[in-house]
Amino acid sequence: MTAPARCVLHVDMDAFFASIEQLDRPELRGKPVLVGHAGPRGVVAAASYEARKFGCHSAQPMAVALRMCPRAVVVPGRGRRYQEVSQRVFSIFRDFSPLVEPISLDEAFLDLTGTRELFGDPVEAAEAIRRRIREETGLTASVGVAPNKFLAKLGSDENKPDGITVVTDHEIENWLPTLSIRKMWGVGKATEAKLTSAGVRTIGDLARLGETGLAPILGREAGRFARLARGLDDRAVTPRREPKSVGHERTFEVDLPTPEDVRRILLGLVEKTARRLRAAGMRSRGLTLKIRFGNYETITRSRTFRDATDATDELWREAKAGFDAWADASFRPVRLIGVSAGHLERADAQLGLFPDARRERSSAVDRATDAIVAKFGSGAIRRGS
Amino acid sequence: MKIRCDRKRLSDAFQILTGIIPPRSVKPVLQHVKLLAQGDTLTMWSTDLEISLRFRLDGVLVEEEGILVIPAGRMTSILREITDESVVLETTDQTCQVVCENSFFKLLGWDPEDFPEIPALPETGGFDVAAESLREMIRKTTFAAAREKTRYALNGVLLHIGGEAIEMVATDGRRLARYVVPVENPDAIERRALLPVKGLAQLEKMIRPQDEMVRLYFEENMVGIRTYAAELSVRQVEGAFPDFEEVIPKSFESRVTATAGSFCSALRKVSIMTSDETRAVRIHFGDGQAQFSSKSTDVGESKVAMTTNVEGKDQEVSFNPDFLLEGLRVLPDDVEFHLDLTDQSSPGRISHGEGYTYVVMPINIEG
Repeated sequence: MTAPARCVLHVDMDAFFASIEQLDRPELRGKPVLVGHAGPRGVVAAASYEARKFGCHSAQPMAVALRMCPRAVVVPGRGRRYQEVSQRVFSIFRDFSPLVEPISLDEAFLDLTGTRELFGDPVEAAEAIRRRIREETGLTASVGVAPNKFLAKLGSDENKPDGITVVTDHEIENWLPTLSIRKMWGVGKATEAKLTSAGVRTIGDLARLGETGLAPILGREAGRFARLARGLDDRAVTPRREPKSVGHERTFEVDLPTPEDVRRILLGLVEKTARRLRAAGMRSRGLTLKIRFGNYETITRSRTFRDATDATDELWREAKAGFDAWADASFRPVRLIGVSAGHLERADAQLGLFPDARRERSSAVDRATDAIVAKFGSGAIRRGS
Repeated sequence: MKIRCDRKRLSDAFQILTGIIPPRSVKPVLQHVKLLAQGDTLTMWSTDLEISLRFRLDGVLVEEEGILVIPAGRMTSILREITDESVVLETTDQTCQVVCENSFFKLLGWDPEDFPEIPALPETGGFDVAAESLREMIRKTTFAAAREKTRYALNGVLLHIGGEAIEMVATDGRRLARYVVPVENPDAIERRALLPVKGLAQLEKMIRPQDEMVRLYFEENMVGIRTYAAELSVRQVEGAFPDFEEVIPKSFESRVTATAGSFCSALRKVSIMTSDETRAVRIHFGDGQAQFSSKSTDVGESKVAMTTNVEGKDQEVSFNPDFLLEGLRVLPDDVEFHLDLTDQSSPGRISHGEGYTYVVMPINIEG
C-alpha cells in the first residue's frame, strides 16, 4: 500500500483509565469496570469495553451507568497513575516523530510525513507504535493512518479496540460518505438537529450539499464542513498546544445550602487551579466561575483583570469577588461549583526592574506551598479563608 | 469670516492640528478645528480633551473677521491635494467655502458654541528650555514607556526639572530610558510632571526650526508648552512614577564598550532565529569578544560573534533583543557606548555621553 503525501496518525488508547485499572488489578480483567466516583452524583470518567457493551460510556452520570450495568465494578480514578502511564506512551510517540500534538492524556496526533526515510511505510510505523505500547505498558491502542487529522481521527474510531485503519483515496470515496454526521468534529446536538431537519444524516449528504447548500444551515461554518465532508483538512499537527484554560470543578452529593459552604470549596478549587498554572508556567488574566443548581440550570460569572497572575492570593480575590457579587444578590443552594482560569499567557522569564513587594511576598508563599503539596499531597496545607 | 492665506502654511498647520484628533470620538465636535480670524492673524485650535493645541498663523489677509469650526480630516485632505499657492476661506453661517483657482469645496461646519473652551497659557512665568534639548529628550526616552495599560503611571513619561538639569525618564517596568540635559535654573525651580506619550509625540512634531527656545508652564494638572507659533496643553498622567533612581545600578563587575551600529547589526542577525515565544538572545562577553546566540525549538538557532572591548569579569547574560535594539537605535551608528553588567540576573546599563542612560533587565536564563 502506498502512503499518502501527508501522513498523520491519530493514536487513541483503548478505554485508557479502565484498562489501566484492569492491568493493575487482575481480578478486574474481563469484567465491566467503571472509573469514577460511586456517589449519587458521580460521573463516569471511563468505562471498560465490557461495560460499554451495556451502553455505559464516559461523561455519563454514574447512576445511569449502574442502571444499565448493575454488576459493574466502580473504582475511583487515580489521576497520578494515569499521568505516569500517559507519559510513557507519549515518550513512545516522540520516538517516532517530533511532531506530536497531545489532545488529552490518552490521545494524540503524530505527523509522520517527514519520517518515512527513518521508519519506512507509515502503516508499518503505526504497527510498530502499537506493538511498543503493548510491550511497554500492557495496554492497547487504536490508530488511524490518514492524509490529515480529520480522517486520522475518524480512522482510529473505526476499528476500536486494538485496531488500525488506513484511510486512502479508496476509503475517502467509499467509506467516508457513509459515516454519520455525528462522527464529525464540531457537530454537537444543536448542529446535528439543524442538519437532520434539513435531511442531512451522513457525511456524504454534507458533501453533496456543498458549501452553497450548507450556508443557509451552517452559516459561516459551511465552508469548513463542506471541505471536511470531502475529506479535506489542512490543519497542522502542532506539537506544544498551549492550554486555553485551566480549572477545576466539584459536584456535591447534596446541594450546598449556604454561601459559606460554597466559598470554602471554591477556595480549594482556586488553590488547585493556581498550582496548576504555576506548574505549567502560565499566568491568567481572567476567571470564570461556573455554578450549577439542583435542577441542572447553570450560570457562569466571568471576571478579567489587568495584570496576568499565577498568584493564589490574587486569583482568590477575583474568584471571591465574583462569587460574592452573585451570592449577595441571589444565592441558591449549589450542586456544582467550578472555576477556570482563562486568557492564559506564558509566564514571563523577562525580569522586572521594580520589585512589586506584595507580589514578591505572595509568590514566595506560593512556592513554599507548592513544594509542600508536591511532597505531602494537597491535604497537607490549606489557606485560611 | 473671509481670509486669504498661503496654502502650504495652512496645510502644515492642519497637519499638526489633526495630529491629536482621535480617529473616532463620542463627541463629533472634537473632530473639528476651530479657526478665529482677527487682525492679520489666524488662530486655530484642536483638542481631544487630554491634549489641546493652539496654533497661530501670522501674515494672513483677513478680509472679514470671524469664527469657524470645520471638519479637520476633510480640510486637511483638501489642503494636501490642491496645489494652489494661496487659498480663500469664506463662511456663510456655518458652512465654509474653500475657493482655489480650479477647485471649489463647501464644508459643513459645526456650531462654535459647542467647541470646548481651551484656556490660553499664562503670559508670565514659565521655564525656558532649548527646543533641541527637549526634542532630544523626547526622542531618547518615550520609546521605553509602557504601551499596554498595565500600571497607569508607566504609560507616562516623567519630566523633571531640578538643580541645574532637566530630564525625562520613561519605563515599562522592564527597561528604563533617561536623558538629562544641563539647564540654567537661577530660581532653583523644582518641578515634576508625568506626561502622556501622545502629548510628547505631538510636541516633537510641533517644534519648528525657528524655535530656539521653548517655554514650559507647570500647572496643577496640566503642563503647557509654548513654541513660537503654537501652544500645547497636556493633561498630566495620574499616578506615582516609580522610584527610578533606585533601580539605576551604580556599580558593576564588567564594562563592555562597542560601536552602536555594529552591535545592533549583530543583534539583528542573531534575533532572526528567535520566535515570539522565546524572544531571547544570549550574549557571552569575554576575551575581547561578544558572542551572541539564540536557540528556539520550533525555529532553529544562530550564533554571531564580534570583537568588543570587555573590561572586568566575563559575563553571560540573556536579553530581549528588541529591548537592546530600541535602546541603541536612538544613538548614531558610529558612536561608542558602554554596556555595564553585574551578573545574569542584574540590570544592564547602556550609557552614552553625559546625558543618556538606558537600563534593561535580562531574561532569566534558568527560566
